Amino acid sequence: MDTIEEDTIWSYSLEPSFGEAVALGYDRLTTAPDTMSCYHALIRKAGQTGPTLGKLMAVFLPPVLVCKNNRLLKLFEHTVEIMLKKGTYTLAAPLEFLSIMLDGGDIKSALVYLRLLSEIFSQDFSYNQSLRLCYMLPKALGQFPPEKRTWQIRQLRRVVREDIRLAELFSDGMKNGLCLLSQKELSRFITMGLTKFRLNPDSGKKFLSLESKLGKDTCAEMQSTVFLSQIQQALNRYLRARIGIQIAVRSLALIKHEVTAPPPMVVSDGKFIYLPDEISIFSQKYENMEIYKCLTKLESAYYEFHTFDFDLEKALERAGILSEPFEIDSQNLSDMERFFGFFPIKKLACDLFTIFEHGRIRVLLYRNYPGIIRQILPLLQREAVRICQNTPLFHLYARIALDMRPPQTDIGKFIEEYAALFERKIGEDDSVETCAELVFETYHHAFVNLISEPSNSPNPPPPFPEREGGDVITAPLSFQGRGRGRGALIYIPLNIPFGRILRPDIPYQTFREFERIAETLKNRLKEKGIHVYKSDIKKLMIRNSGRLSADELKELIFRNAKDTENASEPDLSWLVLSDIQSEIAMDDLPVSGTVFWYREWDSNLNDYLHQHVRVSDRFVDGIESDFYPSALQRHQGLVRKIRYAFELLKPQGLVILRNWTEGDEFDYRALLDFVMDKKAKLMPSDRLYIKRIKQDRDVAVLLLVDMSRSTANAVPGNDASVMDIEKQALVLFCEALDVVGDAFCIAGFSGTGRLGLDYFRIKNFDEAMDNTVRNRISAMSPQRSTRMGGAIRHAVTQLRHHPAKVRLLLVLGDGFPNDADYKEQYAIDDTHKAICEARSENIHVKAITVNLDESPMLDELYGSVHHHVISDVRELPDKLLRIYRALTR
Amino acid sequence: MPAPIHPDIISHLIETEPYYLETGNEISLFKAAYHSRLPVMLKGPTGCGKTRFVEYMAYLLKVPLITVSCHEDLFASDLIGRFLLKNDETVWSDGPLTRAVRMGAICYLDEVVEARKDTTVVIHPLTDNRRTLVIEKKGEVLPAHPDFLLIVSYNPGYQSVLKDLKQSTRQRFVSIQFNYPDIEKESQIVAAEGNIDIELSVKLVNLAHKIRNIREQGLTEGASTRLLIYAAQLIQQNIPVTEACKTAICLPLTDDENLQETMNDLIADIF
Repeated sequence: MDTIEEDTIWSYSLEPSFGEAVALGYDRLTTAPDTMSCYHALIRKAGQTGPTLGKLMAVFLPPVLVCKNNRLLKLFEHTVEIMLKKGTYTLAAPLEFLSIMLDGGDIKSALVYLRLLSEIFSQDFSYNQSLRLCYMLPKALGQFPPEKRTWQIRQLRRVVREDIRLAELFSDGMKNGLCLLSQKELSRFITMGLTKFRLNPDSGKKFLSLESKLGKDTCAEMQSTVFLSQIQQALNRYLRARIGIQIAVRSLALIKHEVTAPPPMVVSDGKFIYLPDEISIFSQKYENMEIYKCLTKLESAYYEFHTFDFDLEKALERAGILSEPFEIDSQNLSDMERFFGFFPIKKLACDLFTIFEHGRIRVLLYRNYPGIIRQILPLLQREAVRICQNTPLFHLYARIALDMRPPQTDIGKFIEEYAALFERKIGEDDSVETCAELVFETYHHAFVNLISEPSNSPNPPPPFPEREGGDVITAPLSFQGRGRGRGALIYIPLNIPFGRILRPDIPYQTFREFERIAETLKNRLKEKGIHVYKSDIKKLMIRNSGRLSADELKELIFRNAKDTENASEPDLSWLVLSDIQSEIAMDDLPVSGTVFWYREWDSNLNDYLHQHVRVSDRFVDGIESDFYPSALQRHQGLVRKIRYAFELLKPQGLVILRNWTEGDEFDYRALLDFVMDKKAKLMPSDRLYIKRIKQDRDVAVLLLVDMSRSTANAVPGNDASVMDIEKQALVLFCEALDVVGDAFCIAGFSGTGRLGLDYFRIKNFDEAMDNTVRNRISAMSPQRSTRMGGAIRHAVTQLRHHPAKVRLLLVLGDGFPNDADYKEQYAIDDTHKAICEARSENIHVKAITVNLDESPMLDELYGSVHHHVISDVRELPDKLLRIYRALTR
Repeated sequence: MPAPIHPDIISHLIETEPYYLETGNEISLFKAAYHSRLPVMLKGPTGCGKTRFVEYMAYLLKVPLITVSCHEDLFASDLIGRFLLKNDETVWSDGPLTRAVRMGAICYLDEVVEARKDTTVVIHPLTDNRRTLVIEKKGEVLPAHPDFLLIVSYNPGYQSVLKDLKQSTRQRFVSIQFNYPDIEKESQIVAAEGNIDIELSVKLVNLAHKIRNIREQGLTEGASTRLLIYAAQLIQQNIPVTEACKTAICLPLTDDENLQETMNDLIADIF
């Protein structure tokens, strides 16, 4: 303690910042008190040279010391010594990066890095060069991914040993694509580059930095690792095409759920299929690419063939069990997991189910996509051979799921019997519940005969639920009794190629809310004597992104009833769906910005309430996001079409008018007619000229977007909300108006109460379409209520000062105005008044209402020909521009 | 007085029955419209069977059919007719529309939005209760033959931002909506027209459905029934299935390589 005090006081007396660093350093070392003496010695030594060096050591030593690695410390001291010869200025940045590495626990890379530093700084070079290296190195190395850093730094060492000037080129090369190479490939590339450099320094440099075509080609050729980012778009497009629902691929690193270790190659949660960031199993790039495709194709089959729509009720009915055999705590468990819970060894039930389910998928894929089976099955079979467990259950998996031949033993015969049962059952009914039925039928026998190595335990296997009828496999005599009575077994779980074990819990977590609603709804309907399966309701909700309509529900019930020949239109008037569906949470933005006051029309008073509404006008804080480019990407086709259409809308400067009695030129078609008419002795027309007229377009438009809470509602058949679609429409709108060159401005509005109206500026008239604006669009999110009158008045203020000949205010909303004390007729009257005020100032006000069926009230609000209704918001991106185009044509 | 039989009426009659499979109630709708001589507008995506339907109806009703494919340079005179020079004399030559009006045929204006705006105005007096064609050049107002009927087809998804029918034109027609048939019917059609077995045809239709799923990703339109029939016909000519699908379905649909790749993947999966 005394030493700490002394050191701190001593260093503080030299320079206060040194003192602080020492104090903090000791603080850091409290976790490793035995290193304090070393720290003391080293900072004393450094401090004697000068406070600057002392401070550097005080800051950067603790991360080294806490590693308690002697080699590291020695190397650190050695490196610092070498670097000091060039000057203290060389230390700060490189050592800071070392600390970052050590804090991340990457000692291995740190060692290589220190060697690199000592090698570099023991060479001769100018002050400028050394200064440059000090800053370049940490920056470049910071870009290397931690898991590859060690061997990438090693290659950098090789390069600098050859020539110090190559360090920078190597770093450029890494940026340009060398980072995609695997360890071996990079080493090979560097060897080639160095050989080239020795022969011809210039071409060698270009090769290493990937500036030359040869370098680029060699790198691309070598690269066998495939990154998810390279193939992600293609996989997403494939998924969209094949299964037609919104599901996308994503990196496994982004999964929120717990996964087993080692992580599976593929897992999915109903919205995303998670795949590894990179695959480098094979030495050929295309083979690795194939693995990505195969995994995606397999995983998507779960969704195409409704694996996770498994319904326990259906399964129990199929198995002839009338009620749940055990009361299972079903909180937070999916139907499938509850089903596994019926069995004494859940894992065995799960494995059996997986076997049959993968078999079912194989059969269905073979039926619908023979091509997929041709591509995938050999791969899976090869992998199965590689990971072969040599247990009966594994052979059963290989036979049923992978169509491989079982061993020619008694077990093999037994497996064949299972397979025959499976083929028959799946042939009769290929739904997922059949697999449950098969588990019911085979569990007991599998338990007795197929699982490995029973241990000696006095407890008999727990009894199995009684069933009504059903097939029972008679096991061959030689297997009868094996393991029976010996009880609790050490069950070795099944090992499945690529770790594709069924994880019903993950999709369940994603759609838990839907599951809850579906359960509630099912029970309510049951009370009224209407029978619906939970999974059917859930399926409907997933398809509609959580939205349920009474009509669809009716249709579902009607369809079910039809099956049981009890068809009648159900009466669901008692059902209030909105009660069941939960409220969507909202988030708030902090209130700030310039304040404006506006009047409001009170229809009860028949007069204005002056200074009634407070509008706070501000910019949305943009967030960095790829929303804008990804929206562009998603609507690629539409964007192209729109650009073309708007290109045509753009005044071409001159327009040709025909049929004029005087003009610039003859119209040859008219001339021909003239001759004909003369011959025919008819009176020819004298309108023979064409005229070229200069055309210009002077339009300014303000797009006012309603950002009320209701825009958070999900859009049917899509995982996006109304707001997301509106934002996508805005993206397209910006692109189109950029082409046509009209001045435009975008603003959003929302708020609560007359004093809390927020007016969010997204883009001003004079702002260019840059990243700030794009990020603002990304940041738009559903807020609170809709006090439309005030917002329109403020928008008019903004538009009023614009000099354009045609000024247009386009209101994009998803319903009627609605706020505290601002409802129904009052709200409509005020909004209508605000619109009339705008029109009186020669501002055209047009409105687009989405997600609402045509209503006569809209006529009252906006005027009969001044609004458009887009009942399905998904059409908005397309229609917004059509409408705009029609309005300004 | 019955209208005189026009000499080229025979040449415009459809003699052999075209293959057509009804997908909704379009036949009875059309018959009713024809009975009251209501002009008909057929709406639907490309290659879904609009033109074939018209041929089929002309055959069923035994009425001559004159088809005009509209394009950007179609002037009113191209429809009505013009004076031509013949041996230093001017001779009037009827355009297809005038001929149809005279002989009492079905005049089918295919892709009417493609025509110049002024041509659409010509059809206005023909499509209301006047049922007359004004031939300005001759100073003639030609009353339509009692059997005459005007049909236009129009693809709402196609170049919609650019070209749209005016309300005054639209509201002169009764409209029949066409779409790609359901899987079962579409497979029957492809099997019958392409002369392939139904199993293969179901696969082709499945492929088309999957391609229609990615329409918004950059395809202007999904794979049409017509393209499926082309593919079937190629297969019938012993072209390997994958090759036929690529040639007849993928390549015509788009130039985008990424989309081609996805479509190729689908083909590889399904066949």
